[in-house]
Amino acid sequence: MRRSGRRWPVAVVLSLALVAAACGGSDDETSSGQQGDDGRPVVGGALVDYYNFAAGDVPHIDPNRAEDIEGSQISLLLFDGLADYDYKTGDLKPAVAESWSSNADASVWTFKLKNNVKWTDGSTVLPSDFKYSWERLASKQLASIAAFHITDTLRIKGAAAVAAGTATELSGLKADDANFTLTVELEAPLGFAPAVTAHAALSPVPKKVVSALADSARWEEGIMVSNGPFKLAEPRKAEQYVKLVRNEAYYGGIHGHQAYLDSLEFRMSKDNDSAWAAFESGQGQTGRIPAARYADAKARYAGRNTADVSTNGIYYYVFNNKDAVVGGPANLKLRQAMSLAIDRDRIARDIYGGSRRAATGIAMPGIPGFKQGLAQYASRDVNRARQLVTEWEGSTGKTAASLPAIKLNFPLGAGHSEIAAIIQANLQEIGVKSELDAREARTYFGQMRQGQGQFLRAGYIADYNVYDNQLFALLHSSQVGGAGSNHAQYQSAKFDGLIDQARRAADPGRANQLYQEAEGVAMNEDTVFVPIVWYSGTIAWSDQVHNVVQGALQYVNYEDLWIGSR
Amino acid sequence: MGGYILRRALLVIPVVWGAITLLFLAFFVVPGDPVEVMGGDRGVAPEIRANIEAKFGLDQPLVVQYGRFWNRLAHGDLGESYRSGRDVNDILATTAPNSLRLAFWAIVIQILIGIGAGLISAVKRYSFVDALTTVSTTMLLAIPAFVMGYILIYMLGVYTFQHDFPSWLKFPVQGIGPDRWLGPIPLGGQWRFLLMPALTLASVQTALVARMARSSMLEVMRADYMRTAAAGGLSRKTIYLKHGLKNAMIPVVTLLGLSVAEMIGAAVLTETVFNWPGIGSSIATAITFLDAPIVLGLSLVLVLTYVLINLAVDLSYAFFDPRIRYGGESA
Repeated sequence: MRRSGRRWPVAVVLSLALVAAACGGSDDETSSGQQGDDGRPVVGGALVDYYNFAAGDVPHIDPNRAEDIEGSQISLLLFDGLADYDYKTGDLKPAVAESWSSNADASVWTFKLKNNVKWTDGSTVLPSDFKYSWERLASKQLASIAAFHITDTLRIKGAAAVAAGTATELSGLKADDANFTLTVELEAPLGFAPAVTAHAALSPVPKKVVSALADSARWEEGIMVSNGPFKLAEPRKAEQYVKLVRNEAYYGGIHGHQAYLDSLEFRMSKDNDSAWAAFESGQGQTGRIPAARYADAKARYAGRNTADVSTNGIYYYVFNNKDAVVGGPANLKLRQAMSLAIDRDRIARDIYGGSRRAATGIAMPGIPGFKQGLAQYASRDVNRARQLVTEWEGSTGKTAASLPAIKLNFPLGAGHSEIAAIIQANLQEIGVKSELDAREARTYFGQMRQGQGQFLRAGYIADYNVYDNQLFALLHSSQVGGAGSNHAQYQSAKFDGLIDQARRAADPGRANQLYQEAEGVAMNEDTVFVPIVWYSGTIAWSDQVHNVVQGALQYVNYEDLWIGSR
Repeated sequence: MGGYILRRALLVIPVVWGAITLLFLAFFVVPGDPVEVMGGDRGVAPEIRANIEAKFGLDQPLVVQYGRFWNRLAHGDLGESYRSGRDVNDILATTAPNSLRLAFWAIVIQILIGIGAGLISAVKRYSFVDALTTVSTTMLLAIPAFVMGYILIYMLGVYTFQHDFPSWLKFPVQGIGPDRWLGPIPLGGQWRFLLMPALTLASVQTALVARMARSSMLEVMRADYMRTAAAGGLSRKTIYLKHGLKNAMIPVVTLLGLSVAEMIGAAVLTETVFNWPGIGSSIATAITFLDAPIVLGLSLVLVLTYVLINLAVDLSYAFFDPRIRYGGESA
């Protein structure tokens, strides 16, 4: 039999040619809309996003259940609430609400709704949809982690009973569908209540649709009826993607127009580096910059990133005010010295590669009322720090050398130990000994709430773009212990009084003055809070994408951006 | 043989029970609680915590939770994720086919490339092919699989895109793509999403299989019956493929069998790097969030799979070596 040896190379070459022909273009080539070189928005096109879910899928996109920024981002695109933020200016604007007003002490709020906002099934969005949504959010049955917006922040009358399962309706919430009015009665005055309603958790849900479901918790597994600039194209594919399409029945929202994109596909990654590789390989048009690639990404995507945008997140340390070594009025100068010694610029540069900025206060730039230079002990000044140590020694009779090593408490992982090491070195410069105390991440905050920390690390990302958010959550005495985030165990009647007064102020300008005073008390008079770095924006995009804005709360304006060739 | 199979099948019960019970107990021993983890850095208010615990039965004693778990299992219900509320049965239905497909093609690569290279290397010992096999398998063994994954991503995804290579050389680096299959067979452009994860997953095991196949074949080639077959005038092809290969395969089959189970459940790194939505990465994520129903439900399936694959491997020995009999039969 003749050998066929000479034929096999040809067969291989032909096979490869066939494969190459079959391959054609990439499955992921995304379409652009029409040409948009004149800067005008282009309607059309499909965007594939590798930014939002760069670090993994989220448990919920149901607005009443989403508790993280990524899930809330989807909810905000599907649902419009009473109010919404303009990410460019940070201004709060009426969305489904036409207007709002309050009584003299901001304990009763009345929202007048627009009458032309439609659900994707064609029915009209009514005040009763908001009422149903907020009761569902607080309900024992749904058991939502996000219920705190109703029970703890707004504190609508009757919320405790709904959460306990002894009532199904919020007694302080009245929906007048005939007059398109929603009246909200709070347990205590809250001047920024409209800002809370801008959170995704307080979006309306279609009462007729959701109440008819056997298990409303399953609603998000199908195609949710919604009222936002986008709607679901198909049920969410867990661990893979969420695909949205433009809602042609959208009323226009705060921008006054429908979404420009035809479709928006959020793809999920389990790993930020892999998501970034997908963006860089052209598989998507947006990506989340990994911290280690910051400098390179800023250069490569110059003018197409939000690395210089301040967002409302802060990495900080606090002193346990009840600790004998660092807490209390007697140790004030020691705390001031320690705060002055910390090299925040070095942390921002060496640990975060420039992706975060040295923080000089509790409130971040971008928060209404932010005042630069308010804190007197939040910028590095080693000489002054040494002087304060000397003054502290004189007033207490103790010496820094005789102090036991101060514990720097932090959870394992995420670079916290490297930051603690820099802080330790900085404290050494002023003669203060310290030791690193790393703890298991899952139990760390539970232990800190119980007051086990001494000089402890924490972080906070704001839910609402208001001055109150960080100050109240992190330092008000009502937030000590329990589920609170006042890990400093800080209890100051003066601070609390200023916050409570600010919350009653219906005039935002007056409220912000009071918040500034309160921050001054915490940062200067008591120096319990040591800001380290503020977060920055992390999105980069390809040259096809235009008008990308990342707001202070880290959300991106997908409804207002477009795709076109430059 | 039938009795042997029955005895091995019955052994599955205590093995599965023991493994799942240990895992169940582990969730009560590890620090942290799932409700606290759900809240993240923010604490969970007592009334909200009470609602969540009541919903998932976390407020019940250990024994009650254990009993409820097995009761649900007896009805085919693997439970609900604490974090997302999704049915674990649905999660399994979605992730298992993805893991099986990826493992299938990783095994195919191991068989074709691993066994093929090992056998050729043995037959052409000390040749250039043999040297190339030795060097390349050493490299593959030295490079961790996830590093291999990132190398492929940057070579065939990022670099080819940024330097404007032809589109057929630009491979997608993430995700499962259009998800078009006929059983394990990728349809249309689906194979482009499969190629890099399968190569990554198979890389280390392929090297091991090649090495094992080579050494096993060399040993078989020295056997008397091989010289007898040659003396009898049989062709080299017949000697190697008909007489040598089957005998050389026993240790290789053992290795392949162990790697199948590992590839289905332990492909966490590959699934993470390529965002391939499989069982391994789902379990890994669930462990991070102390999401016990997912860990227990998916692990149960993995334990069953592992036990059954081991049984299949043991039974396959009788195919490769007719002298091996089970159940007290004599050869």
